[in-house]
Amino acid sequence: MKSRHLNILGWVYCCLLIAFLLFPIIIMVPISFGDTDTLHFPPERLSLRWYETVLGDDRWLDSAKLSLWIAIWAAGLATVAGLLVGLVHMRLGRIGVPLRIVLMMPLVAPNVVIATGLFSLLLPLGLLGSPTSLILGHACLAVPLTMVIFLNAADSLDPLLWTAADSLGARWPRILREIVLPNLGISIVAAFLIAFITSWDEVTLAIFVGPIVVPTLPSRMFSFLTEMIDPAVTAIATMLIGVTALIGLLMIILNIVGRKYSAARRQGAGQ
Amino acid sequence: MGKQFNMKTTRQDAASTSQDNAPAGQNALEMRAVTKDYGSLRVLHPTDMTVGAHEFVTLLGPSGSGKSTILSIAAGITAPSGGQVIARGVDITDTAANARNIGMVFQRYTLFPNKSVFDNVAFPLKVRGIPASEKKDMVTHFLELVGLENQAHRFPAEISGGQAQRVALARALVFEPALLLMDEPLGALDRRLRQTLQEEIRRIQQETKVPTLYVTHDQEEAMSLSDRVLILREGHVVADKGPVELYSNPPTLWSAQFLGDANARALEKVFEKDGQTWARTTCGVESPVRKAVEGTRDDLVMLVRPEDCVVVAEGETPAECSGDILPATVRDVTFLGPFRQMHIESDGGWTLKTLVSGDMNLAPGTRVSCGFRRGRPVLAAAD
Repeated sequence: MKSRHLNILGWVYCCLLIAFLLFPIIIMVPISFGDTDTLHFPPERLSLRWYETVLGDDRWLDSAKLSLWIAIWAAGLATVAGLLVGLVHMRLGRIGVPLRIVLMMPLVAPNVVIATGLFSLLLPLGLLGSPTSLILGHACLAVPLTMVIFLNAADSLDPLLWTAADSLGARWPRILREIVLPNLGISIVAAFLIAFITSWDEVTLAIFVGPIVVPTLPSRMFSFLTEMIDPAVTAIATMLIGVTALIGLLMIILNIVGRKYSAARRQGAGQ
Repeated sequence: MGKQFNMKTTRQDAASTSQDNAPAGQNALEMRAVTKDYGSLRVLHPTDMTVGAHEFVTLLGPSGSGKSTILSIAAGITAPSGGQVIARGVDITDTAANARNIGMVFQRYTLFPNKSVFDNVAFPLKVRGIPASEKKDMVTHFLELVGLENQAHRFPAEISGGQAQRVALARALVFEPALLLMDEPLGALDRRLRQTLQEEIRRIQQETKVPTLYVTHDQEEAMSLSDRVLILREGHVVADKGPVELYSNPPTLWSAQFLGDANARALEKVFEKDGQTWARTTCGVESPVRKAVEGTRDDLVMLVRPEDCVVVAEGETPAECSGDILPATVRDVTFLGPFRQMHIESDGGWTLKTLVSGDMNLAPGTRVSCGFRRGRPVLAAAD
């Protein structure tokens, strides 16, 4: 009985939390479908006016394209870097807690501090405002997240699989291609998605060291908002929410698939 | 298994030579003075050992005795600190694991989870670039050998632990390795399954004649499978004999007790009588003995296995015995199904573990007579 009460309480808590956190986000969605010049909730008449405005404006589209490319590159780099940490952990000896904490540092360091530091570092080098700098910065922010994913994945993969493949005559490129990477497939996708999100909605670094003429989408939104409030922003926000929700959904599906997979594997191991 | 399988066509494609190409009588594996140190800790003292051309050799020992270290050096996973590893006359001490042409089965299930049973077994052939049609025949043949031809399409997650180890065995044999290494392959299975698989491993080894080096801590497994058993203790090989010889003539008390139960008693004297060697224990029991090892009275003990103690009711004469008959009292009895294990205490103060028929029901306190079966008591080194 007690656990059932707790269960109900738990759900109530979750619902309240989600409502509290998500209400301001969700309220953007109906506003974006309004047709007034000011933010108005609830909208009096539905229209796609603001979507037309945004999608017809090259400045928004160019920013979106830039953000997309930066996020893809940053996610790719962070995934490879995290994967390498995972492989080291699996093949060359376990990575202990102290080293893990050091590797997690970018996660706890305030972005503003990192951004300020990067700014004064990149300025004399003339690298300020280059997409490459921002890609590298975003990748660094995401590495702790991808690393954690790969460390866990490596822990769940028996290192003896490598030894077994080795004894069967396979060399390391084949072992990596045929054994390790396929078994880490879910983690690779998960790491890429989480790194993608990290870069996609990052504002601080983008403002400090990112491109200026065509800024990233969050950066442009921020500067746009400092000048005026326009329902166009809510349309962009809605689309951003859409992308984020889609990725979140993918992550949940991956999680379920992954758990089923590893449960089946455990069962197969006869435990 | 019916299908006759011809490996001749594939032999030249395989990465290394097949065992039949080796000159007759050449050892599949030979270690010369191989050692292993971890820092200042020596886990393997200079060890010489061999695995003959078609031989099944078992390394038996408690955990930490160095048996897995030897296996791992043979596999090329661990580099020895000293000595030479030789396969068919070729020094392979510095050869990488993937170039040694050695099949290996581990205690944990090491099937590749992303590959089907068929693809797991086909993996070593794929590595060696065997054409698809031959590959299929070979995989099918070895799956038949382990009785899993119907499971080829399944994934490792969908088969049982026992089946997984059979697939692992097929995978380790399919490329006709020069040597098969098995590291406690039945360790994770339950007793019943272990026995079934033991028999199968023996059958498959005899069919394929692949030289095998097998590691276990299970005495029964070692004795039932092997042509030869090496007992390891703290990094030393302390015995190297066939299982029957080893069980009945153990070199030391420790080996004897590691292989099974053994009653042991220190000696008062060793003497000759009627052309036979006799021994007298410290509790005054005299018996003719076999002498498997050299040594003086102080280094030796008399060993009698529980099944060699013949127990009868007081007043009767134990059959087929020689030497003294011990008057004794039953202390406790444990029912084991076909047998009863019984501790008896002789009037001289020697508590003996004995094994009697399951239907022999004697209550604790019963007076009995105990004799040692003729030719069974043996002298072994005390340590």
